[in-house]
Amino acid sequence: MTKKRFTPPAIKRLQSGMPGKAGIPSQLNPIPDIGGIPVKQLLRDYGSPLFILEENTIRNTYRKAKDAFESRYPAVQFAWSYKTNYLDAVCQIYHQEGSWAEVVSGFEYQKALANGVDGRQIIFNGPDKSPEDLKLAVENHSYIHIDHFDELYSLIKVAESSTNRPRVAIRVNMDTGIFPRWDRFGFNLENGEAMEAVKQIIESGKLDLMGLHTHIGTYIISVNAYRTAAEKMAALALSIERELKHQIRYIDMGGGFASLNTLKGAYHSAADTTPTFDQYAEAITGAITRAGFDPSAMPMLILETGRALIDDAGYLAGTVLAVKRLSDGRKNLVFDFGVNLLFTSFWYDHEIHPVEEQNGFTEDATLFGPLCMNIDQLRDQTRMPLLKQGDQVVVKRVGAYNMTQWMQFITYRPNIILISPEGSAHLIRKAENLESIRSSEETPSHLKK
Amino acid sequence: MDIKRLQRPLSSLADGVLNSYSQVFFSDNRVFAAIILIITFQVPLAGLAGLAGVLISLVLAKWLGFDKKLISKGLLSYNTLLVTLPLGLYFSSGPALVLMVIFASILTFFLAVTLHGWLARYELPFLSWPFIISLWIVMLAARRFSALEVGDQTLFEWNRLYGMGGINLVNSVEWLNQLAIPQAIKTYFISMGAVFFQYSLVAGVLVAIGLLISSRIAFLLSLIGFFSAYLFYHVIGIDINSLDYTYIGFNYILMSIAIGGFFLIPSAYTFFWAVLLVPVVTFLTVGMEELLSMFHLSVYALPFNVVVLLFLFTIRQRKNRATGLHPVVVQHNNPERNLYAWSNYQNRLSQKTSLLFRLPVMGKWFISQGHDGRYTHQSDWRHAWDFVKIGQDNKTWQNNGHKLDDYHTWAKPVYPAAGGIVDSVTDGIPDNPPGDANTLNNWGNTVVMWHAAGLYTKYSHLKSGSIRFKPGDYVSPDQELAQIGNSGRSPEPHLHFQFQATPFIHSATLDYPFGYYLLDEPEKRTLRSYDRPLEGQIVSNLKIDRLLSKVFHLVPGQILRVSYHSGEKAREVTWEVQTDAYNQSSIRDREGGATAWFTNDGQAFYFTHFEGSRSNPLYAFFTACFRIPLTFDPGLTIFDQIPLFISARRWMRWIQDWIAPFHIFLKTSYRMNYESQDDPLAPEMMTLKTQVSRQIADDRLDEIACTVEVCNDGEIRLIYPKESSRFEQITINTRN
Repeated sequence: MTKKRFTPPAIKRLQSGMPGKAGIPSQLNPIPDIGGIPVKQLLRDYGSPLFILEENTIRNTYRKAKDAFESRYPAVQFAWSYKTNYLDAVCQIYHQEGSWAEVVSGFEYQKALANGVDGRQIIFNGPDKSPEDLKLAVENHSYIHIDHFDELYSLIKVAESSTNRPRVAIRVNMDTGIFPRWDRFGFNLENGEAMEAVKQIIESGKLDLMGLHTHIGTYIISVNAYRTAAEKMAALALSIERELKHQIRYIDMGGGFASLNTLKGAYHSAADTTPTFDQYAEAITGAITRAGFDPSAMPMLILETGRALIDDAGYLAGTVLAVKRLSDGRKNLVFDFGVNLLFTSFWYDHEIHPVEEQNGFTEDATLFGPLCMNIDQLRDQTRMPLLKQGDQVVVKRVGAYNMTQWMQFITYRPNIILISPEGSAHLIRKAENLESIRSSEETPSHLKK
Repeated sequence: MDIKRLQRPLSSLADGVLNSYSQVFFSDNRVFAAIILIITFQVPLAGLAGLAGVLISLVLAKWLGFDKKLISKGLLSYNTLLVTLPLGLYFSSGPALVLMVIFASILTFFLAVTLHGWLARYELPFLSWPFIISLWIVMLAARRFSALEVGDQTLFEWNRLYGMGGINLVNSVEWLNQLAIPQAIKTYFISMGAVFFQYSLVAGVLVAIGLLISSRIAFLLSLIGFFSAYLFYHVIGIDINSLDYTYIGFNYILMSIAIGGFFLIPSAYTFFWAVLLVPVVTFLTVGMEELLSMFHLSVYALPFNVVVLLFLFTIRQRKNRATGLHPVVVQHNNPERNLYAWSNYQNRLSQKTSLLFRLPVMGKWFISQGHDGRYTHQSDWRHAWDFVKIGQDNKTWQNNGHKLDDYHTWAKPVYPAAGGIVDSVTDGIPDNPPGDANTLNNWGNTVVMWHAAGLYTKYSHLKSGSIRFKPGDYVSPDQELAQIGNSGRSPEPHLHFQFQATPFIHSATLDYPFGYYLLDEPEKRTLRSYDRPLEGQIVSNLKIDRLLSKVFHLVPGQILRVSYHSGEKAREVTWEVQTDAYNQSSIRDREGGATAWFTNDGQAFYFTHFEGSRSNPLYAFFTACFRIPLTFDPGLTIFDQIPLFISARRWMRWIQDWIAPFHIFLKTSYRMNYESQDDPLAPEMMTLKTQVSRQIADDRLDEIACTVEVCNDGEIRLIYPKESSRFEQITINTRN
């Protein structure tokens, strides 16, 4: 007989009758293992904290999204958004599944090339492309999505000295009925800037206009916004075909699909508000198929969704460093991971689950990270089981952005492992150590001892 | 006068003459025809009379305006040959014989036309009925024509031979006659010659050689037919020597060829029937001889005619045609060609349908129940399919499957399998929660669509309220028809799809195939054409590639400019795309005398037949692009087989011919892969790799690999590795 678990005593108000407007408080189920391997074992082998990615979930989610679009549209292409998670292992999974690469900097572009992606399958987005980046992208026949007129002019200059004709699209921003409008990127549709850019591209005679690109925002929970955007994009493509006799080969609808993480301040939980891939797909493909393209010459539909594809596949496992009380008596949990690793906690109410089965009692608590900085707060107030020092926890849905936006601040960044479909753990990014951080530092000789 | 204008009718007349001779043995082989033509001149008067009869029929047919094909194939004139030939044999020359030949020809011609018209309605041949009837009439009538004298040309055989070739000819014929050949074989040869009223060993040997040249199978059948009869005569106790002096042994030979290899696709079954019918021919021969001897008439080919006609008519009346007896549909006038063309057709196109249906869903789908399914696809509804989506774990749902939303199939769109008109719509039946089934409204929300007379498709268990069209609407295959739901007798979301012959929601299913679909198996992907997906298979529609569709869209009248290198010389030719009354499209090289027939059904371009020389570059195009599905899919390999009579080496085919009805060991296989595309979005060029290999059993004899480059500007380049082919490169420009 195993020894019973000790749980610190707690006082809990008895609730009876009808649940309040927020419903019955949800139970945080324990997550004892990930991909078939006990979390305890993973933390022992790879240290705490630890990022864990599940390959099966990545592939399943990708196929689900692809299915949703491919069962509605004849030519669909996904392009993996590198900034969401550009670990080589992760990118390779998407490339194996048939995804192109979508990059937003020279660094990401180089990374995609290093991953063996054919230049013709790289989409180069973003406002920051140096002349060198542009040159490289032109050499590799990549799709360059022009963000502003200055970029258009530098690209024409690059084209003059290159043997390859640059293959371009323009990024278009528009009113899709939602707020905020992302009009800082690309050319505006309503004021005619987009059409002006298209005309300048075609008139330059030096660039091949291949497609149109938009990205209406991030974490968009209204499929109608996508429907409107797709309608406007299709209309623009058709008017380019009619007025300028130029065929648009693809429409890139960008990304922005919401994941199942609940935004801070949201009234409903994400499970109730986040549309399914089928709903997004229905809105987008429905608008394009009904726009009036020749059925035998439909433009390819490109999707750059990142967050919704990978969020669910990532976990962050960690350990309780201390249990304290604030001056007002509130419970206060300190973990060995904070905003340095969980960057998304700035906008999500992350779910943090215990690893071991608890007794069912919960209490209000504030969750902090390990940093000696006041901003390092993960949750202001949430109900947590009665954890104690050394207990292990798992944060769900951390696959997107955390492994790229994290910061090396105060302490090292930990190991990242990938659990392969047959259930074995692979280290895909080593934890930092003193040497890895100091190796890129230089100390002037007069400061050396 | 322009010589060329005269050439064409003359050459078709020459065809008609030659074919009239070989047609007696169901052949259109020119060597065979020439041999027969020569031996009929053994008695010059007979040869002349025969030729005159043929010419009179042909001129008559042309003058009266009969079909060119009938004339050039000799179909309206071979009976006349058989009637006028013996006239020249029995009667002496003179004005009376001339009159006899002319009017016997006219009579036979009318009989041939009449019997052809009458029997063609029953898809039956008129064989040599006109000859039998006409010759009887002429022979009976001739008895009273006192101006007509019986000739002596056949009476004094040696004199005639001496007159023709002196003592040497007499000696060599005598030597041949004295050769120690078994009597049976001698009788066989004499029977062969007797078909053309030539009762000599030499003539018989020549006819046998001609038959052998024209067809191995027919020659084999002639032996089988004759010697079975010989054996049967022995067993039943008829004087075997009667075959020798009545000259009617050819009845067995012709019957055996007709049944065993000509009107039916030669096989072990037809060989069996050829033997089985020998006694029947015997009954008729002996019985009719008794009867006709009263009128002093010969039975001629009557037994053969009666038996073949009876047998063919019987075969046509069958309800179940699966017993190995397959009537020849497209007659190639050669048993081997018939067999090879048929077996190739069986493999490639036998399931071909006039309407091409696509899968009613987009993307990859799993067949959870196929024809004769375990659950509900039974009895009248057995030819149906259930489509579902499965996840990575082969399950149809995720999470716990308690909500319809958990199912991958739920709310996925349905497309019409082909364009058509909505016939009826049932909507408003609520979708069941998972696990429940509505047995009151079995089919749930359903659309029935009309495509052609007696051809409907039905889509059932649709999502309530998702049907976008109403009865009478035309829906094209790229329009979303509805969404998959869980209404009716459906415990979890799935699409029930079936073909049916009647428009009702409860109609029985119709066994009808899909046009093309891709089949994903663990290690490979294959293209199925005119087939039915099976339970457990993962299938998807072919994605049509714009570039290939554009380049292989060949329009009648289009000129293809072709340039190629053959040895040191660069040559340029033009090919023309044409189509005939039956809408069979072909590419023709007028100068080189080659034609390749092709089909483009919008999803695949493929060749069906080739005529001409194998050294013509059109043959290279025919083999290199034998089948090109209009898609781009590097994971896909296309397999096909090129008909043997077009592609195999002649001497090898000669060996194959002997046993072809029982086993075909030669094979010409075609293999094609989609190699690369220069650009995924705006391709300017696609590269395909094709291999054509000739094989014995499974051993490769030779292989020609070809790289086919298809360019957006309409150019098709066939590139061969050095010294592997007659050509290094052939460039076909389709747009100019």
